[in-house]
Amino acid sequence: MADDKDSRRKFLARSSMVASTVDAVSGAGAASTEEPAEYAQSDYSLRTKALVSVLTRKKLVDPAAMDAVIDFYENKVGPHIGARVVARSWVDPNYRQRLLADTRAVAREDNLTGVEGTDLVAVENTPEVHNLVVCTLCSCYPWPLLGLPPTWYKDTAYRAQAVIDPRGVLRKFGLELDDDVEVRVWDSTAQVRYLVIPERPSGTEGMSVEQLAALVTRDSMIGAEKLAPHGLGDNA
Amino acid sequence: MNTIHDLGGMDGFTIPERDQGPVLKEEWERQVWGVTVALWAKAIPGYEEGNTRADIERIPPELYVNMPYYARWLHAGEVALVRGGLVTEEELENPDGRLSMPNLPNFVPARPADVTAFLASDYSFQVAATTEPRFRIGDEVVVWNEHPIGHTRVPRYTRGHRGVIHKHHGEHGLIDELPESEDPGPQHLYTVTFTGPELWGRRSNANDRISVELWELHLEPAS
Repeated sequence: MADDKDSRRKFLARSSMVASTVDAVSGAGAASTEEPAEYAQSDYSLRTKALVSVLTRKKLVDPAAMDAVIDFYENKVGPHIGARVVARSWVDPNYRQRLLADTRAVAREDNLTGVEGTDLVAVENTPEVHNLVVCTLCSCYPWPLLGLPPTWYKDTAYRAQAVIDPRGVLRKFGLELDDDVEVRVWDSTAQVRYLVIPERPSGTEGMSVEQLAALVTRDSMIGAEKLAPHGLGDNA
Repeated sequence: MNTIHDLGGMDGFTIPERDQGPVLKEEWERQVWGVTVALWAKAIPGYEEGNTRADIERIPPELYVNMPYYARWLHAGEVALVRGGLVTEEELENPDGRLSMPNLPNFVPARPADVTAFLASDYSFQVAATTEPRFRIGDEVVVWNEHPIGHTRVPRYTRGHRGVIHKHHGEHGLIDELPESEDPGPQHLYTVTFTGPELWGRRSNANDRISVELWELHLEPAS
Protein backbone atom coordinates (compact mmCIF):
# COMPACT_ATOMS: atom_id res chain seq x y z
CA MET A 1 0.00 0.00 0.00
CA ALA A 2 2.90 2.35 0.57
CA ASP A 3 3.55 2.28 -3.15
CA ASP A 4 -0.07 3.06 -3.89
CA LYS A 5 -0.03 6.03 -1.58
CA ASP A 6 3.15 7.37 -3.08
CA SER A 7 1.65 6.86 -6.47
CA ARG A 8 -1.48 8.74 -5.68
CA ARG A 9 0.44 11.61 -4.19
CA LYS A 10 2.59 11.83 -7.29
CA PHE A 11 -0.42 11.54 -9.50
CA LEU A 12 -2.37 14.28 -7.75
CA ALA A 13 0.64 16.55 -7.75
CA ARG A 14 1.16 15.92 -11.40
CA SER A 15 -2.48 16.44 -12.26
CA SER A 16 -2.59 19.83 -10.61
CA MET A 17 0.66 20.72 -12.34
CA VAL A 18 -0.82 19.88 -15.70
CA ALA A 19 -3.93 21.83 -14.76
CA SER A 20 -1.98 24.96 -13.92
CA THR A 21 0.03 24.52 -17.09
CA VAL A 22 -3.20 24.54 -19.02
CA ASP A 23 -4.52 27.57 -17.18
CA ALA A 24 -1.45 29.49 -18.15
CA VAL A 25 -1.62 28.13 -21.70
CA SER A 26 2.11 27.87 -21.52
CA GLY A 27 4.43 25.27 -22.86
CA ALA A 28 4.13 21.53 -22.71
CA GLY A 29 6.78 19.47 -20.99
CA ALA A 30 6.34 21.12 -17.61
CA ALA A 31 4.83 18.00 -16.12
CA SER A 32 6.96 15.26 -14.67
CA THR A 33 7.32 12.21 -16.83
CA GLU A 34 7.65 10.02 -13.78
CA GLU A 35 4.92 7.42 -13.96
CA PRO A 36 3.12 5.97 -10.98
CA ALA A 37 3.29 2.43 -12.27
CA GLU A 38 1.37 1.04 -9.33
CA TYR A 39 -1.47 3.45 -9.71
CA ALA A 40 -3.69 1.45 -12.00
CA GLN A 41 -3.45 -1.52 -9.65
CA SER A 42 -4.51 0.37 -6.56
CA ASP A 43 -7.55 -0.69 -4.70
CA TYR A 44 -10.42 1.40 -6.00
CA SER A 45 -12.67 0.07 -3.31
CA LEU A 46 -10.42 1.39 -0.53
CA ARG A 47 -9.96 4.71 -2.23
CA THR A 48 -13.69 5.12 -2.70
CA LYS A 49 -14.31 4.31 0.96
CA ALA A 50 -11.68 6.85 1.97
CA LEU A 51 -13.21 9.59 -0.15
CA VAL A 52 -16.75 8.90 1.03
CA SER A 53 -15.64 8.69 4.66
CA VAL A 54 -13.77 12.00 4.55
CA LEU A 55 -16.60 13.83 2.77
CA THR A 56 -19.19 12.39 5.15
CA ARG A 57 -17.19 13.27 8.26
CA LYS A 58 -16.75 16.79 6.92
CA LYS A 59 -20.52 16.97 6.37
CA LEU A 60 -20.04 17.76 2.69
CA VAL A 61 -22.00 14.70 1.59
CA ASP A 62 -25.04 13.04 3.14
CA PRO A 63 -24.92 9.25 2.63
CA ALA A 64 -28.70 9.26 2.23
CA ALA A 65 -28.26 11.50 -0.81
CA MET A 66 -25.78 9.03 -2.27
CA ASP A 67 -28.33 6.26 -1.76
CA ALA A 68 -30.93 8.40 -3.56
CA VAL A 69 -28.57 8.81 -6.53
CA ILE A 70 -27.88 5.07 -6.72
CA ASP A 71 -31.57 4.23 -6.32
CA PHE A 72 -32.45 6.68 -9.10
CA TYR A 73 -30.04 5.11 -11.59
CA GLU A 74 -30.67 1.51 -10.58
CA ASN A 75 -34.42 1.57 -10.08
CA LYS A 76 -36.02 4.70 -11.53
CA VAL A 77 -34.51 5.63 -14.90
CA GLY A 78 -33.47 3.15 -17.53
CA PRO A 79 -34.20 1.95 -21.05
CA HIS A 80 -37.87 1.32 -20.18
CA ILE A 81 -38.42 5.09 -20.42
CA GLY A 82 -36.93 5.42 -23.90
CA ALA A 83 -38.74 2.23 -24.92
CA ARG A 84 -42.07 3.83 -24.14
CA VAL A 85 -41.20 6.88 -26.23
CA VAL A 86 -40.28 4.58 -29.13
CA ALA A 87 -43.42 2.46 -28.80
CA ARG A 88 -45.62 5.54 -28.69
CA SER A 89 -43.94 6.89 -31.82
CA TRP A 90 -44.83 3.64 -33.60
CA VAL A 91 -48.54 3.83 -32.86
CA ASP A 92 -49.13 7.60 -32.95
CA PRO A 93 -47.98 9.29 -36.18
CA ASN A 94 -48.72 12.75 -34.81
CA TYR A 95 -46.55 12.10 -31.76
CA ARG A 96 -43.80 10.68 -33.96
CA GLN A 97 -43.83 13.75 -36.16
CA ARG A 98 -43.64 16.12 -33.20
CA LEU A 99 -40.96 13.98 -31.53
CA LEU A 100 -38.73 14.04 -34.60
CA ALA A 101 -39.34 17.76 -35.21
CA ASP A 102 -38.62 18.95 -31.65
CA THR A 103 -37.59 16.15 -29.32
CA ARG A 104 -36.69 18.47 -26.52
CA ALA A 105 -40.15 20.08 -26.44
CA VAL A 106 -41.95 16.75 -26.49
CA ALA A 107 -39.70 15.27 -23.81
CA ARG A 108 -40.20 18.31 -21.62
CA GLU A 109 -43.99 18.09 -21.99
CA ASP A 110 -43.79 14.53 -20.70
CA ASN A 111 -41.31 15.39 -17.90
CA LEU A 112 -38.62 13.23 -19.48
CA THR A 113 -35.83 15.79 -19.53
CA GLY A 114 -33.15 16.03 -16.85
CA VAL A 115 -29.46 15.94 -16.21
CA GLU A 116 -27.58 14.81 -19.35
CA GLY A 117 -30.74 14.80 -21.36
CA THR A 118 -32.38 18.16 -22.00
CA ASP A 119 -31.08 19.04 -25.47
CA LEU A 120 -32.47 15.85 -26.97
CA VAL A 121 -32.73 14.78 -30.60
CA ALA A 122 -34.54 11.64 -31.77
CA VAL A 123 -33.52 10.09 -35.10
CA GLU A 124 -35.43 7.36 -36.92
CA ASN A 125 -34.16 4.23 -38.55
CA THR A 126 -35.73 3.24 -41.86
CA PRO A 127 -34.89 0.56 -44.42
CA GLU A 128 -32.67 3.18 -46.14
CA VAL A 129 -31.08 4.87 -43.11
CA HIS A 130 -29.43 3.41 -40.03
CA ASN A 131 -28.45 5.65 -37.10
CA LEU A 132 -25.72 4.88 -34.58
CA VAL A 133 -24.82 6.96 -31.50
CA VAL A 134 -21.37 7.25 -29.94
CA CYS A 135 -19.37 9.67 -27.81
CA THR A 136 -15.79 9.60 -29.02
CA LEU A 137 -14.50 12.01 -26.36
CA CYS A 138 -16.12 10.49 -23.27
CA SER A 139 -19.44 8.79 -22.59
CA CYS A 140 -22.30 11.24 -23.35
CA TYR A 141 -25.62 9.43 -23.29
CA PRO A 142 -29.27 10.41 -22.72
CA TRP A 143 -29.48 9.48 -19.04
CA PRO A 144 -33.14 10.49 -18.46
CA LEU A 145 -34.27 8.28 -21.35
CA LEU A 146 -31.89 5.31 -21.14
CA GLY A 147 -30.22 5.47 -17.71
CA LEU A 148 -26.44 5.14 -17.48
CA PRO A 149 -24.54 3.83 -20.50
CA PRO A 150 -23.54 0.17 -20.79
CA THR A 151 -19.88 -0.75 -20.55
CA TRP A 152 -19.52 -1.48 -24.27
CA TYR A 153 -20.67 2.06 -25.12
CA LYS A 154 -17.84 3.49 -22.99
CA ASP A 155 -15.26 1.06 -24.31
CA THR A 156 -12.23 2.54 -26.06
CA ALA A 157 -12.73 0.30 -29.09
CA TYR A 158 -16.32 1.34 -29.65
CA ARG A 159 -15.47 5.02 -29.22
CA ALA A 160 -12.50 4.68 -31.57
CA GLN A 161 -14.13 2.69 -34.35
CA ALA A 162 -17.78 3.81 -34.49
CA VAL A 163 -16.91 6.95 -36.46
CA ILE A 164 -14.38 5.47 -38.90
CA ASP A 165 -15.91 2.04 -39.44
CA PRO A 166 -19.51 1.99 -38.25
CA ARG A 167 -20.40 -0.88 -40.58
CA GLY A 168 -17.55 -2.98 -39.25
CA VAL A 169 -18.60 -2.29 -35.68
CA LEU A 170 -22.20 -3.21 -36.46
CA ARG A 171 -21.04 -6.38 -38.22
CA LYS A 172 -19.20 -7.38 -35.06
CA PHE A 173 -22.40 -6.66 -33.16
CA GLY A 174 -24.24 -9.04 -35.49
CA LEU A 175 -25.84 -6.54 -37.88
CA GLU A 176 -24.83 -6.64 -41.55
CA LEU A 177 -26.00 -3.59 -43.52
CA ASP A 178 -26.15 -3.31 -47.31
CA ASP A 179 -23.61 -0.90 -48.76
CA ASP A 180 -26.34 1.35 -50.09
CA VAL A 181 -27.91 1.87 -46.67
CA GLU A 182 -26.92 5.31 -45.38
CA VAL A 183 -25.24 5.06 -41.99
CA ARG A 184 -25.56 8.17 -39.87
CA VAL A 185 -23.21 8.28 -36.91
CA TRP A 186 -24.01 10.85 -34.22
CA ASP A 187 -20.88 11.67 -32.22
CA SER A 188 -22.60 13.22 -29.20
CA THR A 189 -19.52 14.76 -27.64
CA ALA A 190 -21.05 18.13 -26.84
CA GLN A 191 -24.52 19.30 -25.83
CA VAL A 192 -27.01 17.15 -27.72
CA ARG A 193 -28.04 13.66 -26.62
CA TYR A 194 -29.53 11.28 -29.18
CA LEU A 195 -32.25 8.63 -29.10
CA VAL A 196 -32.53 6.21 -32.02
CA ILE A 197 -36.08 5.23 -32.96
CA PRO A 198 -35.62 1.68 -34.27
CA GLU A 199 -37.85 0.26 -36.97
CA ARG A 200 -41.01 -1.35 -35.69
CA PRO A 201 -40.61 -5.11 -35.94
CA SER A 202 -42.98 -7.06 -38.13
CA GLY A 203 -45.56 -9.24 -36.43
CA THR A 204 -46.50 -6.52 -33.95
CA GLU A 205 -49.65 -5.23 -35.63
CA GLY A 206 -52.39 -4.34 -33.15
CA MET A 207 -50.15 -4.45 -30.09
CA SER A 208 -50.52 -1.83 -27.35
CA VAL A 209 -47.89 0.74 -26.42
CA GLU A 210 -47.06 -1.30 -23.30
CA GLN A 211 -46.67 -4.52 -25.29
CA LEU A 212 -44.54 -2.80 -27.90
CA ALA A 213 -42.35 -1.05 -25.32
CA ALA A 214 -41.47 -4.44 -23.86
CA LEU A 215 -39.92 -5.41 -27.23
CA VAL A 216 -37.63 -2.36 -27.48
CA THR A 217 -34.09 -3.12 -26.37
CA ARG A 218 -31.64 -0.61 -24.96
CA ASP A 219 -29.11 -1.32 -27.68
CA SER A 220 -31.65 -0.76 -30.45
CA MET A 221 -32.12 2.78 -29.11
CA ILE A 222 -28.37 3.41 -29.53
CA GLY A 223 -28.47 1.92 -33.02
CA ALA A 224 -26.34 -1.10 -32.14
CA GLU A 225 -28.96 -3.61 -33.25
CA LYS A 226 -32.24 -3.96 -35.10
CA LEU A 227 -35.28 -5.45 -33.43
CA ALA A 228 -36.06 -8.99 -34.51
CA PRO A 229 -39.44 -9.78 -36.08
CA HIS A 230 -41.89 -10.60 -33.31
CA GLY A 231 -42.96 -14.19 -32.82
CA LEU A 232 -39.81 -15.58 -34.44
CA GLY A 233 -36.67 -16.75 -32.75
CA ASP A 234 -38.19 -16.96 -29.29
CA ASN A 235 -35.69 -19.64 -28.48
CA ALA A 236 -32.74 -17.70 -29.86
CA MET B 1 -5.91 18.73 -25.48
CA ASN B 2 -4.63 16.13 -27.89
CA THR B 3 -4.58 13.08 -25.68
CA ILE B 4 -5.95 9.56 -25.50
CA HIS B 5 -9.57 10.44 -24.64
CA ASP B 6 -9.99 11.80 -28.18
CA LEU B 7 -10.37 8.33 -29.60
CA GLY B 8 -12.35 8.80 -32.81
CA GLY B 9 -10.73 6.97 -35.73
CA MET B 10 -8.07 5.08 -33.78
CA ASP B 11 -7.32 1.50 -34.77
CA GLY B 12 -6.09 -1.45 -32.80
CA PHE B 13 -8.61 -1.88 -30.00
CA THR B 14 -10.90 -4.93 -29.95
CA ILE B 15 -14.65 -4.35 -30.19
CA PRO B 16 -16.23 -5.82 -27.05
CA GLU B 17 -19.29 -7.98 -26.67
CA ARG B 18 -22.36 -5.94 -25.88
CA ASP B 19 -22.79 -6.48 -22.15
CA GLN B 20 -26.38 -6.59 -20.90
CA GLY B 21 -25.89 -6.63 -17.13
CA PRO B 22 -26.34 -3.84 -14.58
CA VAL B 23 -24.61 -0.58 -15.47
CA LEU B 24 -23.18 -0.12 -11.97
CA LYS B 25 -21.50 -3.46 -11.31
CA GLU B 26 -19.12 -3.18 -8.35
CA GLU B 27 -20.06 -1.70 -5.01
CA TRP B 28 -17.28 0.89 -5.30
CA GLU B 29 -18.66 1.94 -8.68
CA ARG B 30 -22.07 2.52 -7.11
CA GLN B 31 -20.44 4.57 -4.35
CA VAL B 32 -18.35 6.62 -6.79
CA TRP B 33 -21.43 7.43 -8.80
CA GLY B 34 -23.44 8.22 -5.68
CA VAL B 35 -20.87 10.60 -4.26
CA THR B 36 -20.21 12.28 -7.61
CA VAL B 37 -23.83 13.15 -8.27
CA ALA B 38 -24.58 13.98 -4.62
CA LEU B 39 -21.82 16.62 -4.84
CA TRP B 40 -23.31 18.01 -8.05
CA ALA B 41 -26.78 18.25 -6.54
CA LYS B 42 -25.95 21.20 -4.29
CA ALA B 43 -23.25 23.79 -4.75
CA ILE B 44 -20.76 24.08 -1.89
CA PRO B 45 -20.18 27.79 -1.14
CA GLY B 46 -16.80 29.01 -2.28
CA TYR B 47 -15.97 25.74 -3.98
CA GLU B 48 -15.44 25.97 -7.68
CA GLU B 49 -16.45 22.65 -9.16
CA GLY B 50 -13.94 21.22 -11.54
CA ASN B 51 -14.78 20.37 -15.11
CA THR B 52 -14.95 16.61 -14.62
CA ARG B 53 -14.34 15.90 -18.26
CA ALA B 54 -11.25 18.10 -18.33
CA ASP B 55 -9.91 16.44 -15.18
CA ILE B 56 -10.50 13.01 -16.73
CA GLU B 57 -8.75 14.12 -19.92
CA ARG B 58 -5.69 15.13 -17.89
CA ILE B 59 -5.19 11.58 -16.66
CA PRO B 60 -1.93 10.47 -18.29
CA PRO B 61 -2.82 8.41 -21.38
CA GLU B 62 -0.96 5.29 -20.29
CA LEU B 63 -3.13 5.22 -17.15
CA TYR B 64 -6.35 6.28 -18.84
CA VAL B 65 -6.51 3.31 -21.21
CA ASN B 66 -6.15 0.81 -18.37
CA MET B 67 -8.42 2.43 -15.81
CA PRO B 68 -11.95 1.18 -15.23
CA TYR B 69 -14.49 3.80 -16.29
CA TYR B 70 -15.64 4.74 -12.80
CA ALA B 71 -12.05 4.91 -11.58
CA ARG B 72 -11.66 7.89 -13.91
CA TRP B 73 -14.58 9.58 -12.18
CA LEU B 74 -13.11 8.75 -8.78
CA HIS B 75 -9.89 10.26 -9.91
CA ALA B 76 -11.46 13.43 -11.27
CA GLY B 77 -13.38 13.81 -8.01
CA GLU B 78 -10.25 13.48 -5.87
CA VAL B 79 -8.30 15.89 -8.04
CA ALA B 80 -11.03 18.55 -8.03
CA LEU B 81 -11.67 18.29 -4.29
CA VAL B 82 -7.97 18.54 -3.44
CA ARG B 83 -7.51 21.42 -5.85
CA GLY B 84 -10.55 23.17 -4.37
CA GLY B 85 -9.16 22.78 -0.86
CA LEU B 86 -12.09 20.76 0.47
CA VAL B 87 -9.97 17.69 1.24
CA THR B 88 -6.25 17.08 1.43
CA GLU B 89 -4.21 14.21 0.08
CA GLU B 90 -3.24 13.35 3.67
CA GLU B 91 -6.90 13.04 4.65
CA LEU B 92 -7.58 10.71 1.71
CA GLU B 93 -4.62 8.58 2.71
CA ASN B 94 -5.69 8.45 6.34
CA PRO B 95 -9.48 8.87 6.30
CA ASP B 96 -9.90 7.84 9.95
CA GLY B 97 -7.37 10.37 11.18
CA ARG B 98 -7.68 14.04 12.02
CA LEU B 99 -9.66 16.14 9.59
CA SER B 100 -9.69 19.87 9.16
CA MET B 101 -13.35 20.77 9.13
CA PRO B 102 -14.48 23.20 6.42
CA ASN B 103 -15.58 26.61 7.58
CA LEU B 104 -19.13 26.37 6.28
CA PRO B 105 -21.31 27.03 9.33
CA ASN B 106 -24.67 27.08 7.55
CA PHE B 107 -24.01 24.50 4.87
CA VAL B 108 -26.29 21.48 4.75
CA PRO B 109 -25.24 18.89 2.16
CA ALA B 110 -27.67 17.74 -0.53
CA ARG B 111 -30.52 15.67 0.87
CA PRO B 112 -32.36 12.95 -1.08
CA ALA B 113 -35.04 15.46 -2.13
CA ASP B 114 -32.35 17.79 -3.49
CA VAL B 115 -30.95 14.92 -5.54
CA THR B 116 -34.34 14.07 -7.00
CA ALA B 117 -35.01 17.71 -7.89
CA PHE B 118 -31.54 18.16 -9.38
CA LEU B 119 -31.75 15.06 -11.58
CA ALA B 120 -35.10 16.17 -13.01
CA SER B 121 -34.00 19.75 -13.58
CA ASP B 122 -33.50 21.30 -16.97
CA TYR B 123 -29.87 20.80 -17.77
CA SER B 124 -28.99 22.83 -20.79
CA PHE B 125 -26.34 25.41 -21.47
CA GLN B 126 -28.68 27.20 -23.85
CA VAL B 127 -29.08 30.92 -23.25
CA ALA B 128 -31.36 33.53 -24.81
CA ALA B 129 -29.80 34.39 -28.17
CA THR B 130 -28.25 37.82 -28.38
CA THR B 131 -26.86 37.54 -31.91
CA GLU B 132 -28.02 36.26 -35.27
CA PRO B 133 -26.58 32.88 -36.23
CA ARG B 134 -23.78 33.20 -38.75
CA PHE B 135 -24.74 29.99 -40.57
CA ARG B 136 -27.91 28.53 -42.02
CA ILE B 137 -28.96 24.94 -42.52
CA GLY B 138 -27.19 23.59 -45.60
CA ASP B 139 -24.25 26.02 -45.43
CA GLU B 140 -20.86 24.47 -46.09
CA VAL B 141 -18.35 25.09 -43.34
CA VAL B 142 -14.77 24.18 -42.45
CA VAL B 143 -13.84 23.24 -38.89
CA TRP B 144 -11.02 25.26 -37.41
CA ASN B 145 -7.69 23.54 -37.24
CA GLU B 146 -6.82 24.51 -33.68
CA HIS B 147 -5.13 22.25 -31.15
CA PRO B 148 -5.75 23.90 -27.79
CA ILE B 149 -3.82 22.68 -24.79
CA GLY B 150 -7.01 22.83 -22.68
CA HIS B 151 -10.36 21.07 -22.91
CA THR B 152 -12.19 21.30 -26.22
CA ARG B 153 -15.30 19.72 -27.70
CA VAL B 154 -13.82 19.60 -31.20
CA PRO B 155 -12.76 16.02 -31.94
CA ARG B 156 -9.39 15.91 -33.66
CA TYR B 157 -10.76 13.93 -36.59
CA THR B 158 -13.00 16.83 -37.67
CA ARG B 159 -10.37 19.57 -37.64
CA GLY B 160 -9.73 21.22 -40.98
CA HIS B 161 -12.52 19.22 -42.61
CA ARG B 162 -15.46 20.40 -44.62
CA GLY B 163 -18.99 19.70 -43.46
CA VAL B 164 -22.55 20.94 -43.82
CA ILE B 165 -24.72 22.65 -41.21
CA HIS B 166 -27.41 20.09 -40.45
CA LYS B 167 -29.18 21.67 -37.48
CA HIS B 168 -29.07 24.85 -35.42
CA HIS B 169 -29.56 24.62 -31.64
CA GLY B 170 -29.55 28.26 -30.54
CA GLU B 171 -26.89 29.89 -28.37
CA HIS B 172 -25.14 27.72 -25.80
CA GLY B 173 -22.49 28.38 -23.21
CA LEU B 174 -19.06 27.47 -24.50
CA ILE B 175 -17.22 24.73 -22.64
CA ASP B 176 -13.82 24.85 -24.29
CA GLU B 177 -11.09 26.09 -21.95
CA LEU B 178 -9.92 29.29 -23.54
CA PRO B 179 -7.76 32.06 -22.09
CA GLU B 180 -10.10 34.73 -20.69
CA SER B 181 -9.04 37.22 -23.34
CA GLU B 182 -10.16 34.84 -26.09
CA ASP B 183 -13.40 33.63 -24.51
CA PRO B 184 -16.29 34.93 -26.62
CA GLY B 185 -19.02 33.73 -24.23
CA PRO B 186 -22.10 31.81 -25.44
CA GLN B 187 -22.09 30.87 -29.10
CA HIS B 188 -24.53 29.46 -31.60
CA LEU B 189 -24.37 25.68 -31.58
CA TYR B 190 -24.80 23.58 -34.71
CA THR B 191 -24.85 19.96 -35.73
CA VAL B 192 -22.30 19.66 -38.54
CA THR B 193 -22.40 16.64 -40.83
CA PHE B 194 -19.41 15.21 -42.70
CA THR B 195 -19.29 12.50 -45.33
CA GLY B 196 -17.25 9.42 -44.50
CA PRO B 197 -14.80 9.96 -47.39
CA GLU B 198 -14.22 13.59 -46.32
CA LEU B 199 -12.97 12.37 -42.94
CA TRP B 200 -11.55 8.95 -43.72
CA GLY B 201 -10.74 8.88 -47.41
CA ARG B 202 -11.00 5.67 -49.38
CA ARG B 203 -11.46 3.56 -46.30
CA SER B 204 -14.94 4.95 -45.79
CA ASN B 205 -18.23 4.03 -47.40
CA ALA B 206 -19.60 6.91 -49.49
CA ASN B 207 -22.93 6.45 -47.70
CA ASP B 208 -21.51 7.08 -44.23
CA ARG B 209 -22.37 10.37 -42.52
CA ILE B 210 -20.76 11.49 -39.28
CA SER B 211 -22.18 14.39 -37.27
CA VAL B 212 -20.80 16.43 -34.38
CA GLU B 213 -22.03 19.44 -32.42
CA LEU B 214 -19.76 22.46 -32.83
CA TRP B 215 -19.97 26.06 -31.69
CA GLU B 216 -19.82 28.99 -34.07
CA LEU B 217 -16.23 29.96 -33.25
CA HIS B 218 -15.11 26.49 -34.37
CA LEU B 219 -16.43 27.08 -37.89
CA GLU B 220 -15.57 29.17 -40.92
CA PRO B 221 -17.55 29.41 -44.15
CA ALA B 222 -16.18 27.02 -46.79
CA SER B 223 -14.72 28.99 -49.66
